[in-house]
Amino acid sequence: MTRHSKSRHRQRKKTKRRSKKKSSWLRRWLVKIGLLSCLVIAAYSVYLDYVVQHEFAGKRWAVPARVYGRPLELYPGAAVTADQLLSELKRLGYTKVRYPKQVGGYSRNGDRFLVHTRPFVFWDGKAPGQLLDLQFSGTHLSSLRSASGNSLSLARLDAPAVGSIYPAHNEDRVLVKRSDLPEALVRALIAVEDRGFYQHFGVDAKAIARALWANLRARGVVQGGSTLTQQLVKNFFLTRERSLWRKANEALMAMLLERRYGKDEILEAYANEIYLGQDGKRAIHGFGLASYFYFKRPLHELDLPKLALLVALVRGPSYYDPRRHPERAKKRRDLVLDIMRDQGVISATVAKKAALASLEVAGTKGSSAGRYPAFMDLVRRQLHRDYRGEDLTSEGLRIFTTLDPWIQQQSEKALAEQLSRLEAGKKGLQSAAVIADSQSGEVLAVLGGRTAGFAGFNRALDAVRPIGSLVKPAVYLTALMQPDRFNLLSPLEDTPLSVRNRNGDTWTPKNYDNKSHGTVPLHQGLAYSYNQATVRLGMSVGLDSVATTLRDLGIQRPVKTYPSLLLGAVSLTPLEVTQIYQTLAAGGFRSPLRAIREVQTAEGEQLQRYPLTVKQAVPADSVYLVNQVLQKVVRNGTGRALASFVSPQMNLAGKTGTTDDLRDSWFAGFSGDKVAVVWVGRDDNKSAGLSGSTGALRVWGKIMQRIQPMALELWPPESIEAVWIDPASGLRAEEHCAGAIQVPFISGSVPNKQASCVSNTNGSIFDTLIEAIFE
Amino acid sequence: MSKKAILGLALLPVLLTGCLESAYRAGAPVRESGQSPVQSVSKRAPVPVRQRSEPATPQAADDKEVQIAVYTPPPRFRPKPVASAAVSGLVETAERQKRSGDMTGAAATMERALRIEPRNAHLWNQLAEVRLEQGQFAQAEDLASKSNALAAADRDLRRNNWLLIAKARRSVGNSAGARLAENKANFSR
Repeated sequence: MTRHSKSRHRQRKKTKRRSKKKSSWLRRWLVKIGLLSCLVIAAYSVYLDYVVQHEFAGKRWAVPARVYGRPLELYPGAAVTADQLLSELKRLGYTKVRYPKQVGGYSRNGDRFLVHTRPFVFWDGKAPGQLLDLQFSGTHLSSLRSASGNSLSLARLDAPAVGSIYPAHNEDRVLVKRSDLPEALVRALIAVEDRGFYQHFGVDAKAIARALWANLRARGVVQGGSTLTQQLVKNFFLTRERSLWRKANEALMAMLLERRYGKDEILEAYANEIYLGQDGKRAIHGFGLASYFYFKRPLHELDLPKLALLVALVRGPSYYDPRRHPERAKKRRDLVLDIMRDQGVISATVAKKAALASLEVAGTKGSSAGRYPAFMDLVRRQLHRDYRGEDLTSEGLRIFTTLDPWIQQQSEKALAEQLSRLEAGKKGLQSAAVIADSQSGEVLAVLGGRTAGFAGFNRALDAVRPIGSLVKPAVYLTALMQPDRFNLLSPLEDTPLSVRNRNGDTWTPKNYDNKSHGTVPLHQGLAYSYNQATVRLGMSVGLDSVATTLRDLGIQRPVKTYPSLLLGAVSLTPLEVTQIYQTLAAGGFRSPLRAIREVQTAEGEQLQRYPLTVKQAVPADSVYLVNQVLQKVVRNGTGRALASFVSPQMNLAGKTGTTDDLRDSWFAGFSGDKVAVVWVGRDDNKSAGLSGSTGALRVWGKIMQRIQPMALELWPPESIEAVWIDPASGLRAEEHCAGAIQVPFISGSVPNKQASCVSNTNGSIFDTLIEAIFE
Repeated sequence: MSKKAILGLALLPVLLTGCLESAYRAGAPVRESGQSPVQSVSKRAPVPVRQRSEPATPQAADDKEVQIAVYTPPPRFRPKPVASAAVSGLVETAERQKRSGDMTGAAATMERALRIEPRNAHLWNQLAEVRLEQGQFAQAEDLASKSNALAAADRDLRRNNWLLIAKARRSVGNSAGARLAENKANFSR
């Protein structure tokens, strides 16, 4: 029998003896209650311990997917200018120094740059940091060498972080390990926030006493006595309420946490959890992300004054916000440096020197989040086809996209500039644009509206508007896919006509200039965008065939086959139009537009690729003929106003589009390497007062002027032959015939009849024989 | 048709490319989207390209008041596109990856090369080969057609592409299509 039960036994005896005494009855109950509360507290501790352990050990920070733009490729001959490199270096947060000994630094001397690249885990492997010596000449990179003078064939900068996909509670962070934390940061943090960190067991009685004393003297809360562990617990498990109950809980949990985990683990958790700033709706958590948010570079590249500022922010990220309250922030940072000096963490000289440094906080505009909302929208939509939202917002995936921030930036500038010019006298003009690589379908830039960086209605993806004459190339392509019936010289009647709709209405299309142009060759019908000629052609090839061609070119939404389809009564988004023109630009080979190249796990393992695919969607030779005419549109058709933006020698191809009452103004076209579509109009669908060539074309032209695309050189497919033609009769001529021109035909569709200038006796029997073989 | 045509026919270089090797290897474990193993090939065979031998190099059109100011035919016989050092390095890397069975890696490297030289027909052909080895027959065929569209007068490359297409078609049981492609290959000799 234990002593305890003995005493109880005795008690029982006593109770029996003095059973009527109330006091003993009460005492008995008090003991019971005491025991019970002990039990409850014990159980509660066990519960808390479980919570702490479960949460902490199983704590996998919700690390949002990090999204990167394309890395800038550098090789001799690359079409990269010195300005472009500079803008990329700034975007990546490289520091200008006299000589870039350290990674993340660069120096410049005129057209020559020395860049010390950062190591980076690309999808195809880890690239070490290297010191590059780059020489530019005018429009391109002329030489690329290593610092030791060896010429290099190819190098790339680290991929720019362009955003992250964070969850509904808007917590964003970049995870850091304990070993990634700069020692200066750790020592500053401990000096300022919890100098007994390595000694205490979760709570620090001395610190609490110190804080109490300080607060009593100041008659208010001036100092906290919480340890880092308590702060962590507070952030981790508890609400923001201020109560004794919460404080007790916090202390208990802090002690439990300390019992279970080492100081380093707690420190690492703290460094990732701590709230350090706000970027709109996005909450900046942890030193890893704060470093990018405030300085645009990784934590380990920060010097002492910058690290001290991060520690200064712990006390009140919004009160000490270095962007909004720089003086306050600097004062607090200097205090951090002083405390470090007082505690002997740094010497007085070092502290003094650090205090001289300015804050050097990067502008908010350059912050990597939310700069590209329209593009990110596209990325998110493409990702959601393959990933659960949860994985995207918590697994720390690394997503490599096709975004070219430079092209995006140039296009935004062009659009903003041109729109305010167009708007003179008008109000409420909006615009959207998509720029993609013409051969691969990689989306390079998305502009969802006229205000860059504004995450509102994404017109590039969601504004579904009638495309007007942008549909015409599909009509002409459908015709030219029947080479036995149509070629570029086939006569079309541009004369008034009425077409009966299925519902019995008659439709009488008119030309834009309200004139009819009589008999015109097919190519003119497209180049000058004649409506009547186009409708006649479209009716003769069949609405269903035109709809099929549109589908082959890449639109997925159902197309209603009304006659008005032929003049663009089909509503599409700028992105969908871009797909159509990509297929044309790639010579009939459709590559689905892609915003993502690769996805990596947080650890840098390969997870998924979104490969380049091509599909021969429409015949290359017919597309070649259409593209010939689209070049003519720019040279001397409805797109000729482009000449004031881009040299005619670029041979760009494109098409204007205008809808009824000038509601929508479109331009779609391509260079040798890029395809771009611009829409200008109003959100309320009222008249914008702009045609394709007075509106969208001006934006398109300005974009092209800024991004300096490659000239468009169309290569004829094998089945194309160029034949001398007498333009007056449309009959076959020879080179020597006066005024004869060369016209491309699909083999087998070349006119047989010869113009009068060709004398049959001119050709030898041999020529005739050869001709007989091939015609 | 000029006499140059005959001259051109007579001088056609009879150059043969090495046979395509196709050691089928298992793909890397990385997922590639849109990669379904059964892809219908028969849906849309590439439009048969009418072969013509046409070595004539026409002069640029002399247009004055004429409507078709558009057409400036490029020279028929372009030299083989010479890959830059950057691209050659990537091609070597891709070859290495292929040899070690890392087809996904090889494809990624070829795509990187194509970003630098999107009109280099050889690169499209090499990507087609990777896809063929991965058993992505429809994609291999389309990539080879794309290569052909850019190959101009590079007959070796054309022949190589047609043989590749033949192989891809045969692999999905389209033997008639394969024979057609083989004829094209022979015509490209």
